[in-house]
Amino acid sequence: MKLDFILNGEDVSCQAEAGDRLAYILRERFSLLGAKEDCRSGHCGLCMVSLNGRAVPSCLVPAFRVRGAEVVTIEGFELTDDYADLRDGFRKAGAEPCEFCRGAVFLSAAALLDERPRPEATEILEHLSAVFCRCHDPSALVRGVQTAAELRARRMYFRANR
Amino acid sequence: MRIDEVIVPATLSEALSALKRNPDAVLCAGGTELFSEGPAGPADRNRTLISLHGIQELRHVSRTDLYVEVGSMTTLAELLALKEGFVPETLRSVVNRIGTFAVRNLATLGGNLSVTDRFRDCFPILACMDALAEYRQGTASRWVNLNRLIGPRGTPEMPRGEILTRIRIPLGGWDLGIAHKLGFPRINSRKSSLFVALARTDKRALSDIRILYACDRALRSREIESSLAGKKIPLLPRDIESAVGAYADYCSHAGIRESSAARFLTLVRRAFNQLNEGVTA
Amino acid sequence: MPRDRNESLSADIPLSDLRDEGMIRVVTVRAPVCRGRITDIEVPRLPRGYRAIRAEDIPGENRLAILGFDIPILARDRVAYAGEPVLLLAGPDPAVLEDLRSTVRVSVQEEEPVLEWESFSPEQVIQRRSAVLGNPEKAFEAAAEVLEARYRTDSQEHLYPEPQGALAVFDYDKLVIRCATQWPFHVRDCVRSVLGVKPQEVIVRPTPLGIPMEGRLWYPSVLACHAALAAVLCRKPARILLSRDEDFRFTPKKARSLVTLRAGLDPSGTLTVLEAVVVLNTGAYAPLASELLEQACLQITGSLSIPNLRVQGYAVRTNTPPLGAFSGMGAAHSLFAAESLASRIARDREEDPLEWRARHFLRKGSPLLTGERLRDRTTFEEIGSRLKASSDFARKHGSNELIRKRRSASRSEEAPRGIGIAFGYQANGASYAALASGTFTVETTLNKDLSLVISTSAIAGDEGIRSIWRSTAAGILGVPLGRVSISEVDTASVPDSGPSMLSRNISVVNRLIERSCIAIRSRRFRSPLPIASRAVHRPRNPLRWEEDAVRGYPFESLSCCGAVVELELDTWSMEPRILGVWLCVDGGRIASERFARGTLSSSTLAALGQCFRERLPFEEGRVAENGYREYGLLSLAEAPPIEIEFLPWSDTDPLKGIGELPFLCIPAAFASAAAQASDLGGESLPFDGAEYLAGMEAV
Repeated sequence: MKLDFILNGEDVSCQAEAGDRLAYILRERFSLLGAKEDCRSGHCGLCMVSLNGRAVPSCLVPAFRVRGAEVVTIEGFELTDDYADLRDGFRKAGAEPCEFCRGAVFLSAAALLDERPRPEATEILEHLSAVFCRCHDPSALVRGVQTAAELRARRMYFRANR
Repeated sequence: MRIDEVIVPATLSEALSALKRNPDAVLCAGGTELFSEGPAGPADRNRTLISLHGIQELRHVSRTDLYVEVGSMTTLAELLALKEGFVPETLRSVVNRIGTFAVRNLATLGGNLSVTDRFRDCFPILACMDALAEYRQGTASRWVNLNRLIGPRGTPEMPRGEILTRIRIPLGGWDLGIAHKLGFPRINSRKSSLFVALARTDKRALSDIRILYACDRALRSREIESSLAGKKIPLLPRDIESAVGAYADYCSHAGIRESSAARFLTLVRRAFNQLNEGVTA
Repeated sequence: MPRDRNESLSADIPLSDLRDEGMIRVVTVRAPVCRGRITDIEVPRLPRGYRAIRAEDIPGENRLAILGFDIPILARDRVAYAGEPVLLLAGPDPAVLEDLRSTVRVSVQEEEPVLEWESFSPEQVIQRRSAVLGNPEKAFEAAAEVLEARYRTDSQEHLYPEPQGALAVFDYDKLVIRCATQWPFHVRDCVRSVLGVKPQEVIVRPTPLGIPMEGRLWYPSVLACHAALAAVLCRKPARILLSRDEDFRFTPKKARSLVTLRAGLDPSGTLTVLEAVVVLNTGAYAPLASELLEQACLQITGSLSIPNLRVQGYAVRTNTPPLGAFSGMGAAHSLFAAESLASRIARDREEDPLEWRARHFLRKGSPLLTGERLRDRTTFEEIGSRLKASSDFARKHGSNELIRKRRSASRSEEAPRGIGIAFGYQANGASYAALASGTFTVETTLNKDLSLVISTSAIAGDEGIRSIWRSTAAGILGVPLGRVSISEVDTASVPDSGPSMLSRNISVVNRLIERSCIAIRSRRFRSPLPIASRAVHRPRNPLRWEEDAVRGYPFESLSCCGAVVELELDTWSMEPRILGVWLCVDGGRIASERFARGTLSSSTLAALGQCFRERLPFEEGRVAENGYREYGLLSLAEAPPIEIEFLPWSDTDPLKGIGELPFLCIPAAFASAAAQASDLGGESLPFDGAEYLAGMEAV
């Protein structure tokens, strides 16, 4: 089947089998390797992407579902100001998710900040529990997201008052 | 499961026609159950899949004084995003414990109620609330009380060849509202079980009580529930013992595993104690 | 945005993201039963471009030799566990390979599998250790009270973010292996031997590892051999990458353990004698059994000093997938038992567990199992008093005890609470088994532009270790930190620094960096740049195990730790909810407090997971298909507040390993808290809330 959708801001088109998952399509058809494709059950969350503005584990998204949809992967998210806030916030707070989970953690955190610009620690941990990795240090992650939230709020303020 | 064809209808009528043309087709809601299955085995036959995800009319949510009606394709995240009090709080707390926020962005209420291998999280609480499910086939539609979907052996007996379109959840206060998942949170395990107890009191007497326990099958005894109705609150120790005894007999007739039965009885006792303590839902 | 596909030789890219032009995939056909003799392997007619690889096709040796233990690369005659690799299928299309795999028939004349391990037969014993200190018989005769207890721990999965695998690609006349390994030179030596080629014909360049957790010491070598065989026999780059399900079901897990303790106390309640039998179920193959067992035996008293000891340890073979190393290695099993026993004695005697322990703590001069006396100062008392203050242990413990006693008399609907404390130590630079007995080297080079390059095959699991290495070197040579780099690991260009396990990255590698930098410093103004210096580690006095005795000094230094865990049991599900964890650590000089806290926090979560969540569903010697989906993980949403305190250090104190400490202390602290909350013995981990709930109501 043919899939037309928006991927990281660009109109794209590809062929897929009926049973393919989005994670597979992203990796194999577009070489977007930021989404891992290991557990195929939504457990680890390492394949997180944004689908129509909502963070979802792409291993559970049937490929046919992205027809006409907008998909943002970590590679696309890396080009945004929101990403820069998270990267800088995490760095400032000394929070360093490993190379395997970083993308998923950032996409989950971004989804939270979209909903709750000033999240509480419990909300952050609840949200980031969508990603499982043995490297996680809960308090560092909380600091990272909260610092990113501050940077983001500051950026928004300056943008609004420019 | 091997999928050889996918039909993505844009409207309910298209979906109903597609189902009529392909009566053996598998219906897919959010896809979180179907797509978390392992790879297809050699014995798996090719199936046609009808995905309901694009049907906007199945995402409608409305409320009257008596009930709230939720379109079957409403995601669990959308359900949680409704303002507080829109859906019963006990249901909300159950939904909040399903999967992760990212999985809830995909999973739907209709999907959760339609799994056929064992009852998923929302079923017991909605069955206890006497929620109704609307099923559509061709031009016909019918409302079914969820309790009717529990087969004689306690296992799910979901309608085939029909599309679950809406769930009507009665509103009305419960003085006791308990819904707990035993086992690990967030995952569907063969070892997990679900316990629900709802009760209403009227003038210090028990006017209505509903208890459902779902392990590898659902257990609910209306007989025992009726025998408790009218009892004075607080329940007397002998009332509790006799009800727990009745549930023990019920479990042994149902033939469930001893450990499962023991868990159920402990929870029944706790529910009665909580009722006596006057905890309100 | 799409990455360059031809990245198979570059570093820092996970294995699953590596592709190479013309790369073929490799899948494994596995043994269908736990034990038996292979009678036939029926392979269907394969399409062009596909190939089956059998044991007979192996050009070199069909064995992975490690520490004198032989593991077949592909089972030829016998199978020892369900899922053991029997045949490889290689070809270009993964979907075609999957279909082919399901049509291969492996016929096995099945034999009764050996799954029992707690009471084992002599044939099952693959390693045995025993030692005696003092005079246990006499001490038992004199004891006023003797008590017995059995402590069990179950298996645990490492659950790496990326399943295991390997890629073999050609680089001119060399075969380059890419895989996530803790021991690159082991991979090289195994591949060389399996292919029957010279060591310099194989180069290993590791891919990112994640948190190592000791599960990638030897198994990556097996997969590297599989990929290498396919590459060489098909003359194409080849990658094997296990699915999450395969990795979960068939790769090595943590060993299961049963520790039986018999303790004798004098009339004042002092523990005078301990008899211990340690049984480790190490599954079908256990190349690290001796390492695990020796650690378990040497640390059998936990944080306690006991003058009379008898220890017997057995590593036992069963027909389950290999079980072995996990963070905490063998010590985790015995520390759980010893520290749980300490808490139980205090509870039975209605004494504060901290006060009872204070009379028994291991101190400088305490006798060790080897007959030598402990040379290091320990800090358990100070750790205990800090923990007592930070966690309010004495008050909480006392009030929980009161509630527990009342609870026994009447049913209460309140969520029962418990608090537990335990201590432990991580042995740095331990010279237990052959794994630590090799010669390990690190090289540093000060270049003309005053940049410094550290060259080592040691694998740093996180940025913290790399940062410690760089700051060590920068500090000694006065070079700006930004000018210090660590060369990419490549077995053709870096020296063999041994396996990156236990605390070796700190206790051995960092010390070698120190030594080589000091050597450069001494030559700095006498020799022209560049100056290169190699430092070599040769273990001193390895331990000698004899019948009922062990000789030598077992530890180079100790890192001490104490942990308090507070929990409550959910009134409805009886699942524990951790309310708080307090750790107090004496890890010598802490090079980076931020990294140290990060490591301890993430290890604490994994250790807690092992206490009540992570249950490996072994059924009839196998992990059920898709068992991963039912594997309980402790999510961040359930993460408790973790308070970490370090004992003060001075700049002259040595660096020590600390990453294993949570695995050594937390299980016993958790079990003691769970025992207080549940009124059960806390003798078995993981704690099963559902089972406990079922036990509350007899049917």
